[in-house]
Amino acid sequence: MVKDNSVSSVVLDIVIYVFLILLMIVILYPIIYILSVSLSSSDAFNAGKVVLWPVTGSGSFGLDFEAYKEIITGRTVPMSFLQSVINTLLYTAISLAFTTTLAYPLSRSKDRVPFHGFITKIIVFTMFFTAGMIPVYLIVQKLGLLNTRWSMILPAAISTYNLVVMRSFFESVPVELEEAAFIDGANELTIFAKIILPLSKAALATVGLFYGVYMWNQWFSAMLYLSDRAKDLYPLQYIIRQIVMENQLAAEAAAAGELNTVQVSTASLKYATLFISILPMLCVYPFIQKYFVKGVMVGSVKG
Amino acid sequence: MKFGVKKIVALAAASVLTVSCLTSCGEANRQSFEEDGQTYYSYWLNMYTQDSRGYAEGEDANFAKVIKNKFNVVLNYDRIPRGDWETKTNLSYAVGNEADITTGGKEPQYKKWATEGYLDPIPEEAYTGDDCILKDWKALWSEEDFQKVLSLAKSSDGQLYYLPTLRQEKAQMCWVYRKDVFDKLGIKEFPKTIDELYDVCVKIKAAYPDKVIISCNGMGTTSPGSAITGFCQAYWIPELIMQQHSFVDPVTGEYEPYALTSDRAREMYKTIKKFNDAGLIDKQLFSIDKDGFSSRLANDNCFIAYDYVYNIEDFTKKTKGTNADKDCEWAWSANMVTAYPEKGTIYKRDPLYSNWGPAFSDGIDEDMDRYNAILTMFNWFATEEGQLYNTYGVKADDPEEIKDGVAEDNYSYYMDEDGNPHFNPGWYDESNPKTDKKEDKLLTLEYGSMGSQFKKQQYMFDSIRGKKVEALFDAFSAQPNYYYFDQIPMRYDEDEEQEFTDLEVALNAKRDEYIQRFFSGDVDANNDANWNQYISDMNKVGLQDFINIQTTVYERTKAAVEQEEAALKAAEAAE
Repeated sequence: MVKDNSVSSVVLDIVIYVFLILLMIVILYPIIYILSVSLSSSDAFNAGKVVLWPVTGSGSFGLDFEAYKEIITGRTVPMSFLQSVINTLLYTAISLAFTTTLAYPLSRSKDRVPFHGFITKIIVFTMFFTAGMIPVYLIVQKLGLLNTRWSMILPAAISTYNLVVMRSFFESVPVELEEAAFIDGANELTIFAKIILPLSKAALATVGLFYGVYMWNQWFSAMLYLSDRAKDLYPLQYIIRQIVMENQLAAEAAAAGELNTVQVSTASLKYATLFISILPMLCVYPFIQKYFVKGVMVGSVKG
Repeated sequence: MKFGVKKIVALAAASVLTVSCLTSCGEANRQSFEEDGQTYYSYWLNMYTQDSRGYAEGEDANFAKVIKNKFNVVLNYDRIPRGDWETKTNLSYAVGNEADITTGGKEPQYKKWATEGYLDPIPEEAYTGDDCILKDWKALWSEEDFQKVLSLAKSSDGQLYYLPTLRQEKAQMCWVYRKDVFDKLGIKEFPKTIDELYDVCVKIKAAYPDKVIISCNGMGTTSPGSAITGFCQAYWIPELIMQQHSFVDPVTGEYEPYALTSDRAREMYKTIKKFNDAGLIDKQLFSIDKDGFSSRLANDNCFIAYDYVYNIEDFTKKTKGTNADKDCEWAWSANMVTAYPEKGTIYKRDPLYSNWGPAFSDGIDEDMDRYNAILTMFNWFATEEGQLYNTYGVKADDPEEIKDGVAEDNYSYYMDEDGNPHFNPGWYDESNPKTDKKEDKLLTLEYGSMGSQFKKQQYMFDSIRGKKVEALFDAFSAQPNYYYFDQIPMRYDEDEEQEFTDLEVALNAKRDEYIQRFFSGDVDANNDANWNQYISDMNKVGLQDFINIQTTVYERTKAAVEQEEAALKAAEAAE
């Protein structure tokens, strides 16, 4: 590659660098701010002294781990964190299993799969039309899944979008590989497990990440399907939602004339909980990035 | 072999689904049961929670023991986080999975569920006559006020579908201000007219040019209009206008079906713009939350607000921050501000009742013994004994049971020499929160109690805010030409209810959009074209239809209430 040292090229490089640095600041600053507030005293936050780094009550730089201590010694956040981890791992595994086993036959020739077109149309139909909240709730209820972990996992086990991504990737695997395996005596399951899946790590990582992030951020299904009797199953995002809503709820309660009913957490506690919630995804992304770039390009270029 | 595996997998999947279905059908819904020769009644109760901690439940909890022994009642709770209560309760009614008793609703919701057939009415005989089941609940109000409560809370079919709770505060909202700053600038009293308020704000601004003068304690985050209710009242528009829309003028008796498109509303928007243009109002009035407002206080960035009278100590504390020696003092004012001094001044008189009492789901009246048992329990909550229990828990009979400052056997309170209750050490005292709520015992957590129902025990209420709100009410009452807007009964039938809801959503969205645009200066209420555009946009989303419904319902309800009152008087005369 020849380096272009012309003035216009250098200027362009500078513009690009400045733009990227600004973009990096825009992305990083909220995270740094959340971390700083979580490590600052509440008085410093209320006084508007926290801008970039953690500040103590006196206004000087300093770390206050009180919020993290409160979280760790409490029961709610650690328990919900654990539930989120379990849900995310289980959901990702189950969803990947269901998605790949459905995507694989749909990626093969119509001659090998009966009702191929019909099944494909039915699946794509669900991308545009859903049953709605109440019918889904009734199904979950009738299946006895209310107040269980499975109510959050099973109804969303297959995402049609992810299924299409996965099918597109499987289609790019040469059919000759399967034919060779057939000749060597392998059956469909063996081919799928020993040839197709090992060749699909990029797609698996990408779709797995989509599924993982979805479940990690999930609170709505917990709100719908879990009651107080299953509060130990509340995921972290649901707890965070409650904490974040405290201010608004306190204002509403006050407006309704209620007596000190809503307890509002300190800002540092709120931000510490938020930081804990984003930490796992921050840690996971770098390790999956190499697959991710390749995986999201699936189906974008043909030939 | 290949097909064998497929068959096995299919069979296994089908079996799992079948077993799941069958097991889910086995949940018994026990409504009454016999134990030791007595009949006990069991109910599911839906209520909201404020946190996700564990609550004492089951037959061993003190609260459960008391109501089981006293009323043969056993409650099973469905505690829902407050923010999700509306969604989950609506869903439970829609799927037929509702609790027997719902608490915590708002009146429009209760009335909507009633018209949709989800609720059973409170039997009229339960609250009529001197010896009715709900006699203590009824006695929370004077007879005259109780009739007003009934006329307001009843649905369009003339039935009552929930038990309102007593609103103990008569007045609580007022203008609060930095008294130390007023004193320093020689401002002798809080302004009484909107022009005086402007002049005072300008004076403060001159002394503190970089500061915000009027801000808001996070109310605008619920609805933009909630941040300007102090100004609303200055222009004779009710404080609760964002929810109620219509009102009757207390002086002229005229009915106004939609206030925020009136000429007075226009004058109000002009004034708010004038204050904003002069830099006297917080630019973030509608978006600032409680944290943001705390930050304003800590930075001396607010000198006047329209807020709750009992918040001034907290404001002073937050303004001082870590500097206890800082010279600052928040005070409340008995002066409300008016734009029409010749006509009089408006203050907010709190409603006679709140609406988070219990409602009873459809079907509960199939077993009247069961229904009466739960009504009897709720009636007890309104008695002195019930209020004391719900607010303070269980008293130790013998002072010896308090050893080393710790109450034995979970006794939560004691009576002092004057006969006033006080929490024992180790219990969270709402009236004196020196201790940490998270570490102290809470009645709700230890006893599984439902918290205050209908009324907070008077001594506790007085200790928390009762004396402050009473002082404010007395101060308003002593002012000449001070008026308040009375509540007006509105009973919608099912079609009107639906149309009202649809129109209200659209109108509120347009109204809130324009409140913000008037404030920001994007549209100017001084400009006729802008104002006409606002009216035109409101008409496009159904303002005239809304006015028609409100007027029809108002006239019809007024006639119905007058009829009911006449019938009541006739019955009394006959007795």
